[in-house]
Amino acid sequence: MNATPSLRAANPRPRGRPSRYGVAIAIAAVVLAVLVASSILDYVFLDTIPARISLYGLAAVALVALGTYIVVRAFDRDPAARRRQLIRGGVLLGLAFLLWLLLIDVFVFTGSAGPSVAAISALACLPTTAFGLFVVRRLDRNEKEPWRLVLVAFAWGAIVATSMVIWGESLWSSVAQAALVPGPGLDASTAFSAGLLEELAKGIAVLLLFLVMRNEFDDVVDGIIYGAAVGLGFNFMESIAYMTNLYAIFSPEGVGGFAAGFQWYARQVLGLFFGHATYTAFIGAGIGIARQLPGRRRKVIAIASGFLIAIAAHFSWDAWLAFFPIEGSALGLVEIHLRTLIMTGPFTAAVIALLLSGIHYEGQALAEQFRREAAEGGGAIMPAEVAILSSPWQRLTHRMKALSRGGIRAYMRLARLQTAQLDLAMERWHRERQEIDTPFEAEGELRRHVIELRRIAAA
Amino acid sequence: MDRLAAVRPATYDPVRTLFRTLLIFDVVAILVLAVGLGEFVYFEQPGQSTGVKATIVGVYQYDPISRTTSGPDRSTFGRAQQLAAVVDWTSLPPNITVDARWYDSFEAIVGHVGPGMPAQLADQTTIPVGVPTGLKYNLPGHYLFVVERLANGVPVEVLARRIVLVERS
Repeated sequence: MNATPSLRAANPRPRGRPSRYGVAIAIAAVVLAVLVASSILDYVFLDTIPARISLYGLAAVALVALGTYIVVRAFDRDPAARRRQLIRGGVLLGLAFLLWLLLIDVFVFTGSAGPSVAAISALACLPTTAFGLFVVRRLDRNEKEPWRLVLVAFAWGAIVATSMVIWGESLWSSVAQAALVPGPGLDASTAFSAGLLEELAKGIAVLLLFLVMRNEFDDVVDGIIYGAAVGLGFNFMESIAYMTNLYAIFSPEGVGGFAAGFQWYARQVLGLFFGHATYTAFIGAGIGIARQLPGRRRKVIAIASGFLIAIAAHFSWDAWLAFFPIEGSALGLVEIHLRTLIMTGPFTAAVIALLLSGIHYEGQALAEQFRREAAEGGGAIMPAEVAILSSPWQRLTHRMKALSRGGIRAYMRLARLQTAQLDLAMERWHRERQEIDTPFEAEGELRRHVIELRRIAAA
Repeated sequence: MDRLAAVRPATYDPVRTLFRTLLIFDVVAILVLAVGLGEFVYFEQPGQSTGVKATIVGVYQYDPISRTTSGPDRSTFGRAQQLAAVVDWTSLPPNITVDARWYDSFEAIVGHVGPGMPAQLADQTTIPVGVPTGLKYNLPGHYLFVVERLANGVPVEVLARRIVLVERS
């Protein structure tokens, strides 16, 4: 532990600067205030179906806000109280989700497509979206994000972000349609509105996670994962909306099922990763890079850059889709895939490049911290474990060996030990880079926790 | 030599590389948005307002066989009903190029006349909405009808506009 004093360089908050919790509360308050005011104004002045949804959807938004608050607070409590708080938060989030689905059914689709079509559409989108979330979470090979936060990000994308953009886009569309010349100019305006409003609405979720859950937001990799989860949530709700809407439009022609099925394929298969998930992943990448940059100016530039790229990627799809028309023949099947690949592919490739670089860099940094911790001889990480912990594949191999040796219990014990060791290395890494504001005692506590888990695993 | 010894190699920080990569993507994003803005300005040219107003007499039920309209001016139609707008071209100055278009809720053009001088369009006062190929009925949603002034073949000003609703039932 000789090197410990030099690692004591935490990153205390300068006097006079608001805490990140303060910034988060301010952002959340502004979001809620804008949402409430605009929804009421929308309802009074536009009185359209979407406006009514946004007004009644405020109840769902309030439930999401309350549920999220309770879930986040639950982790500051002792384990006994935590479980109760988590259940309460989970119930509220579940209620909000159901309420929102119900509102969409009742006010938009029940009169035309019917609740059964909406339910079938939702059921059709569930497995593909769940697969997307599973893949995205698995991408973080070193320290997987907790499901609770991935699902909170997903819920924000599905319920809060969609609710926020309905009023904004309705208003923008009304004003633009009354003022602009129809055609490419109006299309560009609509695309600007979608890119700007939807990415802002989604990105706020990632920003709030960055501000509130700093311990679970380590770097660019985490940012991309949370961003993609928010995007998948948004895509889920948008898919249901489009499927039911197009079913209602085309069912009198006898092709309602085909229209809905086509939307499902385009959004839930072809566009699952090539769409909202890619756009919002850029916001997450910007915030994740900002997490590790020194200096407030650079942080702001990185965050703004993420938003800018997301808005541009989203804009390019919405504005220029019409330049790639799809033929009604069999060739159209090839064209639709090529169109997605050409228009969104480069952006997806760029976000994958950032992700792979982040994973590589994170892996190197953690391996270095494993070596240092082992060299200090504190007992949390043994020299023989360094090579194992540095490789996700070797970690899995050792867990599988534990499984065959001692069953699922041994597997879980080793998994917990490895997770705690990774947490310790991550804490060391952030402290070394002076990007952590927790007291140094937290690292000692993690070390003691690892040693305790090692004792349990060996028992 | 002391000065040389004091020079330490700059520590390589991969986060900076990631940050720079992000800034490169930023340049691409700015280019994309600039092209979009250029497109918007090209089709929404500033300073094109002439103050000229066209007269849309009304939107009526339409019989495609006799090519005549009937009934009162309406804002709502059933999807099985055919509809058409009637324009008074004589209300426009003779020396401008104009056209008239119907857009459905997917922003597809589903009916148009022109472009031409108002006198050239005098015998095309009725502009019907066409049912999309392969479909039996009009698609439901809000339909936008516009009379536009063109400059160099590009619509630059809306001289009149009407929105009607085609109901789902």
